[in-house]
Amino acid sequence: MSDYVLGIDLGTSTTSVSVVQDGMATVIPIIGEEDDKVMPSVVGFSNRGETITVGKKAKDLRHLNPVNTIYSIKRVIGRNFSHPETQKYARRFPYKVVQGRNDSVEIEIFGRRVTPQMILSLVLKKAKRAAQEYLGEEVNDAIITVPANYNEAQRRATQEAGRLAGLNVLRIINEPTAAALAYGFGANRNEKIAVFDFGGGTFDITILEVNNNIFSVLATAGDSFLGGDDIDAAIVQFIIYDIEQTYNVQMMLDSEMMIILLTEAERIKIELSKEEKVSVLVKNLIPYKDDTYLDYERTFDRRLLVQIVDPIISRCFDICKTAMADSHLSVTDLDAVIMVGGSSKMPRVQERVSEFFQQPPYFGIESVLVISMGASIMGHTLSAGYSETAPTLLDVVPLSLGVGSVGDYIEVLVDKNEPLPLERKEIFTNATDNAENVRISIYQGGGQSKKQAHLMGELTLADIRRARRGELKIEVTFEIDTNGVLNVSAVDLDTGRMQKITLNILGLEQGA
Amino acid sequence: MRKKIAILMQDQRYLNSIEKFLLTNIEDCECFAATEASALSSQDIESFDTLIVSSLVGEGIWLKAMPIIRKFKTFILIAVQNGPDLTEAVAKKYGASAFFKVPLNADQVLKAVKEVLEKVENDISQFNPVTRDLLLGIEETYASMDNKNYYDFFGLPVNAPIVDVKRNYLALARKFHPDKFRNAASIIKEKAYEITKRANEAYSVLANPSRKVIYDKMLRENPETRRFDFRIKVSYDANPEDTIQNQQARRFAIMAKKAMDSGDYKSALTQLKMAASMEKNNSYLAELIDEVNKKLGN
Repeated sequence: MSDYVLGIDLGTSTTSVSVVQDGMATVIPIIGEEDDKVMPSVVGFSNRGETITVGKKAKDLRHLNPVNTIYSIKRVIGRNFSHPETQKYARRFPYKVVQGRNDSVEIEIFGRRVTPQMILSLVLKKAKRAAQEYLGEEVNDAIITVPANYNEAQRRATQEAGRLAGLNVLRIINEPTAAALAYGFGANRNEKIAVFDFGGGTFDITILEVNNNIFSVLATAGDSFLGGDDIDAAIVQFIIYDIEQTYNVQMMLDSEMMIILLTEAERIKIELSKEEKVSVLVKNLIPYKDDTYLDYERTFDRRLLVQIVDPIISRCFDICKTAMADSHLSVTDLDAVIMVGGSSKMPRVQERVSEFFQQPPYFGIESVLVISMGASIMGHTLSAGYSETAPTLLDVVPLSLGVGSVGDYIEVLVDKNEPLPLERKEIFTNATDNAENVRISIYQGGGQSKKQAHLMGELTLADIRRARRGELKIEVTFEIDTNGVLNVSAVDLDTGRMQKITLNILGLEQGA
Repeated sequence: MRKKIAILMQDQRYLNSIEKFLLTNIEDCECFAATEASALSSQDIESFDTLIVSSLVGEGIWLKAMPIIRKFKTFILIAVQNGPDLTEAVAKKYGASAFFKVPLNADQVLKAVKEVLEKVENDISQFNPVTRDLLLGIEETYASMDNKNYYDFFGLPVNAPIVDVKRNYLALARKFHPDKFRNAASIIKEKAYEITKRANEAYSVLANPSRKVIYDKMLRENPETRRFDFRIKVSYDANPEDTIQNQQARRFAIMAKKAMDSGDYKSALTQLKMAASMEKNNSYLAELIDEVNKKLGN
């Protein structure tokens, strides 16, 4: 059996994989991908679904096959289909997003339904294959990273994607924490760092204290619907607005044109990270008389881009404020600010980060590779034997956990930012005489208000002992493990017997 | 260290007598007996030190169960009557650590089992240098944690300052974090996990000023108090000054509060600023400063 453990950064836009070799985190080459290292998380289906392409090739060809090319699927994995944000993306994606069982999200390709987990498992399979070729042996163990603010369903769905790809997922770790591991701060002295992780689909800010290789997360906050994708979409929106204003026309985009514009928007964004100006030419975009079309031509400069994207970037800093307050630190207490993720490459983002944190951000490792490298370091710690000095991760609960009470009120069981693993116990009783079961709604995030929170799912205590109302005392143990995943167990306090308990999670096909 | 042995035999009577024999002759030992290999698959196979398997199992000849047998660290093969014709050489070829034919010689079997168990223990410590001291540390910490309050658990006197609590909390994580024990026997892993869980619980009470106030009060009223009751919801109203850790800062805050009550906002502001310089990031102090600034029209 191989001792290698892969560190996989399964990103919204791109995926990379690393492994520790001779004590060094090394990015595994994936030949034919961007820089032969970074693989777009894009899967294309053709030939009635019999041919599957993954990575750069699928991305390059997506304008030819928009309905059957699945990109940014991470945005909707483990989501409830009826969630307004899911609906927003379902409309934006050229491929067909449909409702599956248990309010889960499914994709329809050539009349067949597949889950986002299956799509991501294809990306993972390719990463696994590349690693095996590179290492020359079979490797099954892996660490997969997820955004810090991922909820229960999203974490479980990611684990499932790993399983479907034939990986033994040793741990799910948070992306910003992985990045901090890669930088290896605090090996000898105490350091406080902020990780600003602005990726393709999600934004996370994590404040850590590192002391002799112990990485304690002090606070984490984020938005899993805020990323480079939104910047691209804002640029597309601007182009549409620009045309409608100038030509006084109503723009209707088909999915092919949408992909072309999104690709162009991404190019504008990337080029303006290096250049001051970029010229844009999209052929046959503007409807003109008698079914003819005009070309769209315009020069974008950095100032214009700032105007378009600043409202989106500003959302990051509202979240940073929350995290700083939760950490009980002020920005001047921080020894370093690390910037991670593709969107961190934008000069405007860097400018605003320097402004907010009152210090220049720290660069060093390529921002799109640092997460997988950190994950591989974690993998190495897990596969190696006992060592007191190996990096130790003390991560926290990203979202508060509670049970639904009367009205809008949530009874909070676990506050956010409590260290993992942890366990809390709560006693429940029957509301009616001889009830057959007790059902409890579980919420994540949002503190004490149901309106602010996400309904995670429902706990059912089935076949309970028959008793008068209020007579039963069933103690439920909520355990959140080192993966940030919830486990529940229950015991009848009067008989001491284990009570059957099931947790049904919305947004997952099989529940749980 | 507790030993875990699995026994897999078709003959129920034989199975029972071997189980009884091992339990009486091997110190601190736990057995799991099964007549069918499929019954083993529900077990945490990694946690067993060895498997004793007869040449006939519920499903037929022992080779049929090889996929499961291989998962055990070691196994001892016993050739029974009516079973396939086996020799020591064949058994060794398949990786058996020891081989016996019925009728068994009790002393020989016991000696072989003990040798295998010893070898497993050495192998574990070689492959994964979890030292005996560390194992004892885990056993001891785990066994005693329910009888200790959080301060005791961290090896500190009651009301020890937060810096000491934090230092000892981190030291404990460094030593016992479950991630460091992935290759250790699952019984060790589980204990390390439970210890870390308790350390996190203790730290999240002692490092949280409002919870600490309640916990310290519980301890004063009943020195036998062990764990915090997280069902107690923290209310900040009772004595907000208590959230201030620094004694000096707390005094300034109390003085400032008095000055505010008497309408002397200027002095209150000076005192609050002093308090805030000693105790950074206290939300209660920040609130007071805001309030005073508003009164002063700043």
